[in-house]
Amino acid sequence: MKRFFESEFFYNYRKSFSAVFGSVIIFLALVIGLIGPFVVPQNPYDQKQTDLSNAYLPPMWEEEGRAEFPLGTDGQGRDMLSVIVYGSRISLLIGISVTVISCVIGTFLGVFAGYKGGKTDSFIMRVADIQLSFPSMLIALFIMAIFGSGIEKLIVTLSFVGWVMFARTIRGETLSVKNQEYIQAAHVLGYSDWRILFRHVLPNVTTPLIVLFTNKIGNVILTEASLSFLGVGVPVTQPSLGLLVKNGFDVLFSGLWWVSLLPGLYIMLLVFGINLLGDFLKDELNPQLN
Amino acid sequence: MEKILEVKNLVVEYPLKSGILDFKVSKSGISRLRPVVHAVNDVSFSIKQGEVFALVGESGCGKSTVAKAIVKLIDKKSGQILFRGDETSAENQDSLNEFRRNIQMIFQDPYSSLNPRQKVKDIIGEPIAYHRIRPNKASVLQLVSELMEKVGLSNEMMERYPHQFSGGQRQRIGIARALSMNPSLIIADEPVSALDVSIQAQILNLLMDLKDEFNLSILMIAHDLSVVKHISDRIGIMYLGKIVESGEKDQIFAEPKHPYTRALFSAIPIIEDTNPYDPIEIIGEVPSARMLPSGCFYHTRCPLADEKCIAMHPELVDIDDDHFVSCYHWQKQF
Repeated sequence: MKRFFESEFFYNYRKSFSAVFGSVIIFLALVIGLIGPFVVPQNPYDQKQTDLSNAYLPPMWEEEGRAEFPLGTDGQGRDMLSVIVYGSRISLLIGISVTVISCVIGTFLGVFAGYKGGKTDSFIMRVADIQLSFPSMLIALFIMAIFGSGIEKLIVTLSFVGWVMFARTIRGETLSVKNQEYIQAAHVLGYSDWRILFRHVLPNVTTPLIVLFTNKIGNVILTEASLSFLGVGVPVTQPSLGLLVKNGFDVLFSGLWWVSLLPGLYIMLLVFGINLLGDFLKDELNPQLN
Repeated sequence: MEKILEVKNLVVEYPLKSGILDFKVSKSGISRLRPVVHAVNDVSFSIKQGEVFALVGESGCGKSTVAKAIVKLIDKKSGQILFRGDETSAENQDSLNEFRRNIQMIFQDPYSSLNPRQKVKDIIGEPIAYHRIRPNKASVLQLVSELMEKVGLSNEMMERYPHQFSGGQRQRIGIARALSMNPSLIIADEPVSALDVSIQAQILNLLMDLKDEFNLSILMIAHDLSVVKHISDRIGIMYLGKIVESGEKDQIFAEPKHPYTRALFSAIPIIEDTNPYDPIEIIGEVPSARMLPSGCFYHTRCPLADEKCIAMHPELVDIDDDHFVSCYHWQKQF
């Protein structure tokens, strides 16, 4: 741990304003997601706590705003602040779990394809190419339209289209590691293929993962928001930030801007923070990665 | 003496990628071209128990390919590789494991031959634990520390990673890893060519000491003739995937017979005219291994070549007590 704090990496990190700023945003977002529900004034999805007569109140700094609803209310009289906090939980949950699943699947397929080579490699990589040639939004849209909405379905769908990036990068790394003499040595020492794959190849191809991982989370949150905005994402009972934007969109042009714009701003801030950190990691750890 | 390893008529070819337009139109129809690199063309030699056999040749002559074919890192096209008289097939796992334990390899580049994510104790200890050479963790570590001592590394270095070592130390770790399997034959693929000259002698001397201590036989792949002269008992000289001359080291260094060997020896760098051989300049370049020359592969560059050399390839013939030469004109001077 001490070595980490004295490392060049950490030094560059401290010096980089955008990296620190990005991590502060991510950290706050995580804290808000974790403890937010215990702090915010109401549970917006408990109907006993909401009152329809409070519908469409503007934020507190506007003329008709009230201090008990600092960011105003939506059409059901829900407190916008609470709604956003609850929504960010769902967005983060989807963003992180989709990234973890795609990362695991993609890494495994990539390292396997690169190591095995030949037909296995061609097959896995052609599947990846085919997936890449469709916009991932479109595939997700199709799958979600067929199977209906739901958080777990959304996670499965986005992971299904998300592994490709990981697989391609990891395969590339594997191809270069595979020809190193320590892999030949492992063969000569008589280790099994699985052992070589997991103990000797895998640990040496994971460097790009942290970069991909960070960027992917921001990406997934955006895709999820778009899908939800299109109405095929999360169910209305568990709205993510994207669905909140959609909910407010209908009344956006009636002057009720806060219902749609505030969740939108929060998405922007969150993804902005993630991208700032991701860009720093990319420059720092893997300059040749695009 | 017992032959520990015998290589008979080994042929290794690397297929090249053939494009979709690589076909040949002839009277009999259209046939696809399957270009290959003829890396090793009909190589035979044997290594006796306790001896150091060196394969010498310039870059690209196929000497490393021979080494890799022996340890089954690449597939041979034809020929036999007999260890103590038996051929090991890759299918039978038990006999393959036995083979692996008996033949180990030391690699050329100590900077890429050690897994950067493993500690030294795992690099050396993994084969011991994997092949159950020692029954439990403590005894594995015990053996690791003995081996490290044998190759001149101290025990405190066990917890370190490869990047914390110098090139010479890394090569020592590589040697300890090979020894962990308690092999009887070690294949050293240019073990010192990536090291500083000052370190080369240390590593070579270490290898020679270990050879006596562990009763090893060594197949040494090298291009550095001074290294070969220093440590080998017998040598084979390769040119374009073929052995052109082989025999006792002293005999060959005293009286090189093949024109290529003579040219090679005359190119040994000299300090104030200590090279006993007359300077011979080799003309031209090595032919491509994709399209081999007819007859003797050396005829395109050989000062003695005549029609016979162009038409037919000379067999390796025994000219004097285990001294083999593949040349029609070995008796001629030039």
